[in-house]
Amino acid sequence: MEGLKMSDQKRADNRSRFKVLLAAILLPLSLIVATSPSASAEPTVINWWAWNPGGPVDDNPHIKAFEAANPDIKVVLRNLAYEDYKNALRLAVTTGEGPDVFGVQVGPLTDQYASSAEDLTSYLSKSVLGSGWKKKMIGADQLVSAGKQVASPFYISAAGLLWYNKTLFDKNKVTVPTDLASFKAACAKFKAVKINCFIHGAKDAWVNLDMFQTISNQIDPGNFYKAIKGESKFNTPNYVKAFSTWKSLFTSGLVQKGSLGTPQYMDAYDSYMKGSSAMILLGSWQNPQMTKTSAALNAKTYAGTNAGKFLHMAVPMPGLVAKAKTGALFGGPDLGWAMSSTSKNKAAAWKWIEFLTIGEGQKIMAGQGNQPANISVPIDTSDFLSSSQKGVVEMQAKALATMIGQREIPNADVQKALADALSAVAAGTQSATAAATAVQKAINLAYGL
Amino acid sequence: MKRNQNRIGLLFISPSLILVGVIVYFGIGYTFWGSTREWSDIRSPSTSIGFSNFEKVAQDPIVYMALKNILIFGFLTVLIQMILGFFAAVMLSGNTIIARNIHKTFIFLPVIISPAVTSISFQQLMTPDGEVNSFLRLIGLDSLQQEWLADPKVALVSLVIINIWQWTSFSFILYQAALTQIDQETLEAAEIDGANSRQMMAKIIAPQIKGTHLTLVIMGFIGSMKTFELPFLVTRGGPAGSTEFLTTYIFDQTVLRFKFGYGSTLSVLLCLLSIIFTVVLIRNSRERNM
Repeated sequence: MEGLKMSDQKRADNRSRFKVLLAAILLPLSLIVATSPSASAEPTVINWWAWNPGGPVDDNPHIKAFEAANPDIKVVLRNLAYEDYKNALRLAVTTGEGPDVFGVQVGPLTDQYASSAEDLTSYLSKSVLGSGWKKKMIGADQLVSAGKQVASPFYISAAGLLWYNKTLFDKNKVTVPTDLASFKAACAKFKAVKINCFIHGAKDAWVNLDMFQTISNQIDPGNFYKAIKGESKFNTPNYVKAFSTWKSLFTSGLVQKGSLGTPQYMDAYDSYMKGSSAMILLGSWQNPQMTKTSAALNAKTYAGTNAGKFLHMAVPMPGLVAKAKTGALFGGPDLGWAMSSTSKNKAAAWKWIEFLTIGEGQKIMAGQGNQPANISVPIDTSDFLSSSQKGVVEMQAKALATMIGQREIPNADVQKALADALSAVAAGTQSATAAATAVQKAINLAYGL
Repeated sequence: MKRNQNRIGLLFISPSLILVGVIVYFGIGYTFWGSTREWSDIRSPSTSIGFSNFEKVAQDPIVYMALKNILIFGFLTVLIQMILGFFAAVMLSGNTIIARNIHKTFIFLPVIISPAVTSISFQQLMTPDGEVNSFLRLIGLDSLQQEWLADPKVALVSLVIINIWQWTSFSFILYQAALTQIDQETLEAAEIDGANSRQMMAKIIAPQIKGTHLTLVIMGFIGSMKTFELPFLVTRGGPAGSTEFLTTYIFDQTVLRFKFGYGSTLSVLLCLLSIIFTVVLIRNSRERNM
């Protein structure tokens, strides 16, 4: 009996202890729940990964405008240097911890990330652009892979432009070149006043590819885009001529010494922006440098130089071969914004992409002097330093409407083969004929010819 | 009792075993498996292609160029670093140089600077208008000015120079430690017997620190095979592939071109070459000692 009583007492004690323990656990929990803000009050966070085109992390104009209009969504930008971006993105998508919205370039990047991106076709069809959206966005087809609209185009870049420092040209009474002879004459005049004439960062493959496409299009407009896909031959006299012309830029001294060790960004670019060099090959993405906003920024970035006072203008690359057919630009979307297929906030992610590529973000882009992908949004020239620069935009608009081809080479192996050949020819370690043959070999391998 | 002791011993070394087993050996095994796959997409499953990637490597001219560059780079850096490090250690071990400790500190400084910082700095110094060419002009050696990083004929030598600047002090430290182990009485006896400095260096000191020579050669060549920051940050493997290393090519194929299978094959090749080199050298050294 006594034992039973003890057992009852023990059970009662245990019950009391259990109640105390339960209270000890539940009370703090209830306090936490009571004091924490409700889930619906927290904005939805969109992780946005980009390189340069994303703009600054702090005071990003796109993010500021979007969040002001959409207070329930917060955009967090991760901006990385391009090479780091590609590596980080590749790791992130395989772990599923990546961004909601990320940038892709036309070409191999679009193909590689097609399987990780949401098909934006239905989103674009249901947008304000309607079912005819393809015709209302420049270059949207260049961001398609295996029938999937991988990304929505942001702004358009056209390459093949010779940017020149008009202030230096006027000061030294140099005429803007229109062909090879006038190019050499301009360089002779700049050399006399110790200004580097034409700066080229040949360490970077992409700018060499731009220059080669420019030369090829001057010889046989448009054929390049067939040849690199195996639809016509690459090891032909025309491409040998293109390689020879490319080499002559180095042997004639038009391209500066040490070019193969100079990256286009930032070394060659800095030399041009500071006024140490008079001309550089870039594209329409350089348009923002014609604005007062950029001039003010350049004055700070390149303090101690006249960078803030320079007037920058552009013309199509002058003819570098005899009977050159000039004026054609090549390009497409500089990048597109893709939505991750594993994003947990697809509705918000699409709102952000729509803002960037169709809505107000396009006007912000236009205000910076870039060519928006949305054809209904013209470039805003109100912030340009001089009315004479509007002619640059008008020239580009005409050329953009009839772009001769896609800037990015679709096959990565062909791209590498051509880049390696250009480097070897410039360095003098490969002949023009051997270079054309090497590229043809890569095309044959890539396309099973 | 002995079994118990074995178990306890195993317990103590198990964390290291797990670390080495999982990270090192599993990693090597997984890379080897990856080398037998056609794996060129981020998410899509890979497909087995046997040893096709190895056949491709055997026919890849860039691989041969990279191996040639590694050989030249390794030979020059190891040899010159050993010679400079040895002589610096010998000179600073005696009493003839004043403020020896300050000299030792300055000699050691480059090795503690991050290779990334060294690479970026030299990239600027070696531009055609950079400080290296300016200095050569200043001392009247204009004819020696080069496009250090832009001329394929000298770009690899430029990397050799940068590497020697950074890592000679490592050889110096190892030689300095080795020299302290030499029996001073042997040196005194040799001096008494009339041996001059050159003879003492060649016939007494150098042979007695054979172990250090071997260590530096093995580490130097393996280091050359593994070198990545220097060619990547300074020249990116250019111009025209003249400074392409296996490591930069692996990065190019795996990270930039998404060719994980082929990149894995190149990694297996690098691993095999390192193992073969080490085994051959150690065996050779043992045979000589016998």
